[in-house]
Amino acid sequence: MKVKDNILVVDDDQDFLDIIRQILEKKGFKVSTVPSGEEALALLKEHFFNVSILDISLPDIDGTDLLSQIIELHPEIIAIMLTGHSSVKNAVQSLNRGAFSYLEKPLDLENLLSIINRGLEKQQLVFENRELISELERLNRITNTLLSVAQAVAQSLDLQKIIDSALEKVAECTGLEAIFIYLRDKDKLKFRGHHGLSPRAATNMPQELDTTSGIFSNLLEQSGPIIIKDLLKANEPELTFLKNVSYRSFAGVPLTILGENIGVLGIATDFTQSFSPNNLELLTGIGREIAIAVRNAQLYEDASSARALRELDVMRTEFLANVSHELRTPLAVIKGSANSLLQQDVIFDEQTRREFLVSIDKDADTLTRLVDDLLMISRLEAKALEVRKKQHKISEVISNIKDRLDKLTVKHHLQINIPDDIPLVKIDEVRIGEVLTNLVENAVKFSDDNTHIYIQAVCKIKKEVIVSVIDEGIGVPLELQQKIFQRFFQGEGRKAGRRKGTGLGLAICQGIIEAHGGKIWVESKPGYGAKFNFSLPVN
Amino acid sequence: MNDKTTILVVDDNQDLLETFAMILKRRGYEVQTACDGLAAVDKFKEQNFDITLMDIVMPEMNGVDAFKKIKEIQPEASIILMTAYSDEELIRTAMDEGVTLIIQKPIRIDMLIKLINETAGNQPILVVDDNSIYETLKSPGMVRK
Repeated sequence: MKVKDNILVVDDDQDFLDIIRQILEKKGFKVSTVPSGEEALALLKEHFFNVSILDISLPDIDGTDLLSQIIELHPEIIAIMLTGHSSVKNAVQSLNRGAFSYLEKPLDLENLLSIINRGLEKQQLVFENRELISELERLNRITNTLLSVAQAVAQSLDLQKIIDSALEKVAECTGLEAIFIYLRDKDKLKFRGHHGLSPRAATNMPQELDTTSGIFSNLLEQSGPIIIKDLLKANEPELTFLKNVSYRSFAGVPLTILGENIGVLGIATDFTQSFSPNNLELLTGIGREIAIAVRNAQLYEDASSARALRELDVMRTEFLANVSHELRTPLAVIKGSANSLLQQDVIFDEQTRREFLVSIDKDADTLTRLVDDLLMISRLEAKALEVRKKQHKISEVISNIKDRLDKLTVKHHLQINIPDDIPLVKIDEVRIGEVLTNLVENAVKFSDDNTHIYIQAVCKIKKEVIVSVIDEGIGVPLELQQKIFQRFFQGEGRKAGRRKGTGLGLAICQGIIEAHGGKIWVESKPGYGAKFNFSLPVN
Repeated sequence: MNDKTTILVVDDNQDLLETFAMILKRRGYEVQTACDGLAAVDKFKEQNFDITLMDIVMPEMNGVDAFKKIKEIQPEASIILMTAYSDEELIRTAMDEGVTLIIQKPIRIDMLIKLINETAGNQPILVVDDNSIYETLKSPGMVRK
């Protein structure tokens, strides 16, 4: 049987109260009676009554005023006014203030019951209406939430951004505080982000979850959410991190796309029993939106990592082609010269023999250098470059390689300007010498004969020494100023006939300088030369 | 006309071709190579060479036959024939046809350079050498300008 309708009867006539209670209780109502307005209000503040029957003339309060206060407390209450002496004026006033009807004493019981029943019917309609409106509002809220989650997550193709903005939006739209996302990664679930979890829960939550058993694996296998109404009563070892920090209920929602669960959205609240079916419907929808965005981002990531791999592959292939060409060129000369010297049909004079031997020697040097470069690169790649640091003056490092630099710049004007007060730097003299040689070699390669090449050094706030190699050559366009330090990068626009390098020189320089804790960079305006700088920290 | 003296080297030994090419280029000559007589004649159909250095014993067309063909195309061509054998009959034919010079393998590079310089400079060639081939060549009047 349905819950009994509640009726409150207010009258100062105790006999009347007793009689009417008997009658109404017989009709199946639950009846409360009070003799004064004050007691009526006290009771109404605690309980809801479907119907209130009020005597209009009470000793402590005017009946219509009481009516107003009651309606204010319970706008949907069915109030029936009783008037002792026919007073149309009071009755009309009562109706205006929200009474459902009025009756004259002595009461016509049939009439009273029919009025009560009509009132209850009306009240039922009001309640149903209200439910419809709230359902409508709920649906509206779901739509808006989904829309704003979908908008937030669709704005990016960056997986982490999507997860973060989804978490934030879900929290904002649902008022749920502690939410987190795990995404499937092969046979594991990996933690990808949370919003509002208490710091203790956040630090204790597992970064990886097994997908073979436990609540999360169940979530991955089913289409709907899982609710744990009371974490204290549930035996879910994987949720201990929530239980231990006073979360009391949990909902897990699979992130589903095209029938595949790609992760789990988890929600924890401080109270038991906090998830209504309505909540879950919304969360399932949100789960779907997040899954779509996550899958898009994953596909995009896959595509771009595949592209990056392809680019790397192209670079490596080019590098191998360059290296083998570079190796072959001097090898061909060495082989040809040796072969010539062995020709039985030729008798060499001393001068010609020497020429052949010199070219063998020179190209063997080229080969050695190339192999050294490759070894250096492989050491840099393995991060195994050994740097033997000692205190040195930059000017000493330069004077030690001066012969080499002079030889490189025979067709250029080399000017070296290192002030005496440049502080000592702790460096591997040989390696830094290599860097300088390499930079000067590049300067020569990319500038015309008879132009100037400068080497200078400045000290910046006694913290670092900056050494620069400046040329008047073709320069480096802005978009290449980072790229030229990449391994295998080959500068373009070099003059015809110039030796093509391996594309390793600047990458090696960068590796050496970084191993010293410094930086290397280029400043240049194309057509106006380039200034290559590297910094070395001063101890 | 090109300032550089142009030389065509003809030999079926590829390594030797490259060796000569390397040496002569270093001396400032413009050098082309051909691997047999036929290829040499084809080269002459495209351009003239100041000096031709040609092996006698080659497949397809031997040096003497090629020499004759070349003379038809470019009568003033200076042609130096090289041979590893003292095939007197062949040498005699070549001399009769007006070959500039015949030298014997193995070739002494310094001598070759000197001969080329003299040929290029249109100087009379004086061969002073202890190598017997030159004696052979000289004695019956086989070397002539």
